[in-house]
Amino acid sequence: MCPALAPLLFDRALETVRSAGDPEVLELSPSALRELVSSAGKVQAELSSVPIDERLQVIDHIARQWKQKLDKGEFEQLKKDMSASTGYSPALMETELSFVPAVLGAANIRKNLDASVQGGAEALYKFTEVAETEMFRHVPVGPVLIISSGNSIVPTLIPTVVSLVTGNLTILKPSIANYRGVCEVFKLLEEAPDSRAARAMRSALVVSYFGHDSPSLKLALEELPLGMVNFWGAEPARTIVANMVGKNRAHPRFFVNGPFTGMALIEEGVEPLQAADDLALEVVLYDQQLCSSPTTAVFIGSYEKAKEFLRAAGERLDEAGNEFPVAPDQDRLFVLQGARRFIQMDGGMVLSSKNPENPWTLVLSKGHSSLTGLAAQFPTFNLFARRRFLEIVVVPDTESAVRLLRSLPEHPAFKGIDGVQSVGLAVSEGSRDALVQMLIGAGVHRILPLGDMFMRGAVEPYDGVTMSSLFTRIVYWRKANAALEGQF
Amino acid sequence: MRSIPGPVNIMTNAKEIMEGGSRSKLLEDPYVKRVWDLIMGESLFKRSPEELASLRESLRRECLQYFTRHSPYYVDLFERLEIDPAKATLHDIAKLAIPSDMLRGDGQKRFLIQDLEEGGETFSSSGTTGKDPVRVYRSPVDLAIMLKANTDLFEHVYGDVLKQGEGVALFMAAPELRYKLSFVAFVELTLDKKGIELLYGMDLEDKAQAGTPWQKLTTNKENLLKFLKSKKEPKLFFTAPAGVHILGQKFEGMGFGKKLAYKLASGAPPIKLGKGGIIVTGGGSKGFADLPPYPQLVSNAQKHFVSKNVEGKQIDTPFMDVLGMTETLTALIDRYGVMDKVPHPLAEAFLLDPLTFEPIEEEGREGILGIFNPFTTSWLEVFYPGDIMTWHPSKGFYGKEFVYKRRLSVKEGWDLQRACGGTLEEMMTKQ
Repeated sequence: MCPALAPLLFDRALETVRSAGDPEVLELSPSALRELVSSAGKVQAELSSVPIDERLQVIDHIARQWKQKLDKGEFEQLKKDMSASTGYSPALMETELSFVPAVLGAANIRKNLDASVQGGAEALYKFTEVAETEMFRHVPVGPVLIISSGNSIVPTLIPTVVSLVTGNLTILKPSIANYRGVCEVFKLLEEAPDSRAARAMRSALVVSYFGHDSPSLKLALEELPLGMVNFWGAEPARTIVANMVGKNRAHPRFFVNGPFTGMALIEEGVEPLQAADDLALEVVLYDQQLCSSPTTAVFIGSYEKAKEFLRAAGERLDEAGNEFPVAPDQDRLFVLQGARRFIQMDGGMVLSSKNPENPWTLVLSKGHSSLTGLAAQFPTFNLFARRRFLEIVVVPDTESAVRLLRSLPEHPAFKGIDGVQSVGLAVSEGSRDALVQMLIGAGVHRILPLGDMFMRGAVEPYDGVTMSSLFTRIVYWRKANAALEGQF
Repeated sequence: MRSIPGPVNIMTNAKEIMEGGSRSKLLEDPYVKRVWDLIMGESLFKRSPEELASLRESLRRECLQYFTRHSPYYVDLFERLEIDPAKATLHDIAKLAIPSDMLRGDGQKRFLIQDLEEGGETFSSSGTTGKDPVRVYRSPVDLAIMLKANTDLFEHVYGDVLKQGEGVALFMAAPELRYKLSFVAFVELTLDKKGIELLYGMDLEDKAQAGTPWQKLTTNKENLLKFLKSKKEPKLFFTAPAGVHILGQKFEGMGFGKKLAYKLASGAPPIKLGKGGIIVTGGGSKGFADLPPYPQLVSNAQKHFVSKNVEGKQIDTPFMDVLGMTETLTALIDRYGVMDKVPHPLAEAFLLDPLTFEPIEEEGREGILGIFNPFTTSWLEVFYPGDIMTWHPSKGFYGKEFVYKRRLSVKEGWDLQRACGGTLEEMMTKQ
């Protein structure tokens, strides 16, 4: 088992210190971080010289090992611990852990790299011809610092693995909530069969928590010659980190994933039970805590049909939510009840669960949101605190639906998001293409069938950018000048 | 457009308030007339618990029907919540209960009837949480009902009738708060109605700030001394629990010489409350981390306060505690060692399961207190302030009594909405 909260260093010996915010937590000391970062050139050169397939084999080994252990029931305690630290249902933790092998599977990563690396995945290892006489070689930009927030493991694994397989010295700072799970995954690197690739990958990864006021974190962000800082999260941390990175004379790249949310668009006339089923699944999975989870929905059609759909969705939420029961929480339910009553008194129609282990809430509003006054009366019941809570606004046409989507960042009940990342569609084929055309210019990053919003495709970009491009730069090599004739 | 009228202090004493209520046009509505007659008529406390429960059930239904006659808002609300006023049950009332937080600022506005009568008073909470205070308008007829109903309840729990013109009361509040805090208004008007002299034991340090949420109070030593030296009986001492505790601590901390000097000047300690003398507390223990549990507080205070029963025999000083808040027209009151908290006979006090918010039937189970006052005519007064209580059966008029357990903490998701007594405590802490 991993130590409660101590850095995962593999074969390295680095100094650790107690975290200022929590003396029970160990983090890398400033001098250790300096030492680690100074080794980046050597570490990255070694890892980048390992053929890409060998790197992927090491990651694939982790995936297989994880599955074996999961099947043997070795992560039962981890599930309980993570359920306690995240507030998610133990059943959801089971689902989450079962996603890990797919995320780390060599075939999936290879597919992602082939789709996102110009010249294909091989260009991470050697020059690859992309045009006659013109060659690309993708090299690591690291050292990379990934600051990963959130409750779940998977969104932390994805950038870390991509950073690692693209050859970077990768320092990962997970959140307190997901630390144990992330640590258990990467600890399996220690068990990978000895090989040059395995050794190179172990030497290129460090997992350490850092407190908010950590001198080490401050040093890394403001002074150490990092090549990339990838931040996952929201305000106020985002701006604080951005300001610190701005002071760094090495001018590391800085890329923020999130904060976004999802929206479901349902059109009258689609099979209502299927749409209700899909919507319920999206709401229950991860309790709407992913940037892709729908936290609001629009019904394009009549109010009466929307009411029918609401009832169907309520029934499906009863069923889907009961499969992922959460521990009843008096504090949360007290605020939730107050919010439900506020909306009802304000004219909204509220349908809600009677089961405190599955406390879903559906709100039906005509033309505009009923949650506008909610933020002022219940400031703690913000987007990040709302779980299994969805408002469905009934609008007459797609134009109105897209208008609501565009205005979401200004909605007081959605304070803190930059926009809508994922749109889940349950619309007729006849209107789908036109709607997609409208969504292209509406700032969304992903358009998916409803029921598929939580699912990431192997080739998918992240928040509009291919992940490999964040962690690499291209060395361009033109062997001869003849091929460029007539181009400029 | 309905709005919460500002403070128009037309009626300043109990007589004017009762007269103002009796002139209300709303009395032309059969429901308001019925409620008025019940409140102003023969004592409701003589009726059996079963009779009162049946009366409350019929009032519940008539009350909801009354609001549909006076506001389309309620027609729409009942329809959306699938409540048939003619068949309304306690479960329906539980569905209609709102958190007190919803009454902050102009929150009450949406609930007010269309033909709202002006000329009443608007009370507000202290606003100590930094948010808008809770503001509740009371129309002339509501004020009169408030005065009569609370006086009746107070006298019933007190165990005797407060005789007209007899006795003196010391209230550890400042007179300027009479038009701001409903508890202060209730005490002043009740005593005024009975012709009992009221001495305010506190002064506002900066009187110009009387209308602002924060007021700092200092002791009015002159009134304190006057109360202590008064020969009138009974002596009624109204205070937050912390007030009586601090006074006791002060006496205990006095050296022999100082105690003697104080006794020569005031006759205390002990403070003699005389025949029928009583201490009335309100506001709970908020703001005082080191306040002893209520039974301990009573026992400590009884060393420094002495009272006699009506026959003139010395007894342990009785204590009453009032659970009131800005948004309720009538309070819940207990008498320590005699009866736990009881509401007015026509008020519906109920407990909600903290997880499901369904009414709790079982005795002894902790629940969130909900209050429904069917005799409030300006808005449908059904709310839950955030107090956790239990109930047990009783032979008294209500058939059950309520025991205060705790107030939901901020950690429990509730941003404390201060009751009037709590305000007094906080002000005293700031000294």
